[in-house]
Amino acid sequence: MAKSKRHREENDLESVTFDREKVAQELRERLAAANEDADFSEKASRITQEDLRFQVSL
Amino acid sequence: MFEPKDFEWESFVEAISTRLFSIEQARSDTHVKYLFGYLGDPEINARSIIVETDYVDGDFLEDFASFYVRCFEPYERFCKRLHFFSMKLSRQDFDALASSNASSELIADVKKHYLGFIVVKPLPDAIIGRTQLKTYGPDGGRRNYTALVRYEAHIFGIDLAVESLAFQEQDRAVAACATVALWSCFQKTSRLFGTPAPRPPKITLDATQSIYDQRALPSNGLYVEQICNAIRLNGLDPEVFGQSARERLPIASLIYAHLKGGLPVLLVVEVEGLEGHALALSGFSLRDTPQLKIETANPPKEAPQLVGLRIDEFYAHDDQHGPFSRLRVLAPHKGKPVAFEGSWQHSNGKKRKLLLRQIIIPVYHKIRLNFITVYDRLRRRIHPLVLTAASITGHDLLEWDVYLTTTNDYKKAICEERLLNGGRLTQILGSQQPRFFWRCLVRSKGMPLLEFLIDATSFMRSRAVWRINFLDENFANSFVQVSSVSDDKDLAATIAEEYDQRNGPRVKEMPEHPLSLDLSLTLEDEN
Repeated sequence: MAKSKRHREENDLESVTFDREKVAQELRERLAAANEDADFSEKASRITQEDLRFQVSL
Repeated sequence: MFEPKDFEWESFVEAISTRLFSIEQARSDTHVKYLFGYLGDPEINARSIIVETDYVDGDFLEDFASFYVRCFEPYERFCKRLHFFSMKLSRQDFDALASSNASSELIADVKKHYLGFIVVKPLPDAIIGRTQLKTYGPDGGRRNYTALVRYEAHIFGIDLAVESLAFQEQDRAVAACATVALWSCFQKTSRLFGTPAPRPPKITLDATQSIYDQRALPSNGLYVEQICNAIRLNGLDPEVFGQSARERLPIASLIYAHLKGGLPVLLVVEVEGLEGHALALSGFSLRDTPQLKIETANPPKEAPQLVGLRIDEFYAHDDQHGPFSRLRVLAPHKGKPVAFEGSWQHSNGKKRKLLLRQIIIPVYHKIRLNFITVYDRLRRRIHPLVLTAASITGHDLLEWDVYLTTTNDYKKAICEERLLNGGRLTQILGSQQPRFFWRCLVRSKGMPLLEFLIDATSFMRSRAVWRINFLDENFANSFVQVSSVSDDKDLAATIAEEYDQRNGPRVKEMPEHPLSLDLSLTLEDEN
């Protein structure tokens, strides 16, 4: 307890009242939804032959 | 030889005409009309021209040496250069300037009212050579011309300067549209990164080393792969966003993220009903409120809202029309990505859409983390924490402002913005930083909450988030506590460390136990 108190003082963290379980659940759901597209970066980075052979001629 | 003229339509077409390009041709030429309209706009307000004849232009000289000198027709190698001023220059003023008898007030006025110049090439068509003109004003801060270069010119021993990005018309001999768009981009990248600023014949020849399906010169256009090759051969890496990216990424924000950092963007489009075309983007118009409902045709899950929704126009060097032409952004429609609308028209006067094909950004090799990686990291790891904290504090209408910056530009920006407290500001100004990083700043209703700085010189499987600045104390508390319940312990540890340093470095006593440094454990212990 003494350790926790010292740390709270050291970090100047004001106590924010919230239901930790509820928040943790909310966060888990958001992270899970965002990570459904885990291969997004790989897919969006793909450059196709069609891209490379597009001719700019106007 | 120099000759003064008033800026009027008749004197302009006369000044721009040459032995091979008649006044009649000038009157009906699209570029001539565009440039007259641009210079005559009240925001630019050209009032006088000084015509400089027998001007040796380095860019045209290279075209001449590479191509025109070997034609049977005896083309000239000297150009005309037209200088523009937003002040009336009387004959008396001009004579005083030309004979070094001008007062210091007149010289100061001439410098202040200088609008830049147009080089007129001695060709039968495609006469608009290197053109460096002043931009429109900021219009209350919405217009941002970011990929500009300071150019100098000299007449009568007077040093003149203008902030611009060089433009020229394609001649279809040594350059088609892609070559001149690259040439404009290289003007800026050479200043940013110290890389070459090659002239059109070299760009075309560099580009056509990779694929051969037609002769390099006369130039009839380039493939995207050839554009990339020209970029690589001039010391930069092409960052290409193709068909997968254009449907899944926030396009206006992607372009903004590079322009805001001063990088020019090469936009490859298909002009509706015509063919492929390339434009060099040099700026954007950022409004106070959203202009687009969406900017991603097929967004990923939990996509954060970005600043690009507030962009209504980009400014493009369109070699078929002119410099800084307005390109209106059209929101994705029925699954089709962002498109644009500019000066292109059908024969009945209806606007032709410019359909996005690729975005190509010439970047320095040390810029390794690209927009996709940063956006994805933000979306999957950071934004859920921010959203959850915001649901506790009641902050809504969150908007991310994501852009590439440099250590010097960032340090200048934080001094001007004054968002950080004194201790933290001093700490950051005095710290060593990566040369390039991504600044990701989240605001609620325009009020900054916090920013993540992501090291752009890093790589995908790295920690990359190297600094977090807490800009709202109330939000900071919730954010740190929310991060402590996250399974992402690496990120939570970074957040806790940065939170501890938010007022600048502290002298801390030695911990009794190593675990006591872990803020997340401390918070869990308390419950």
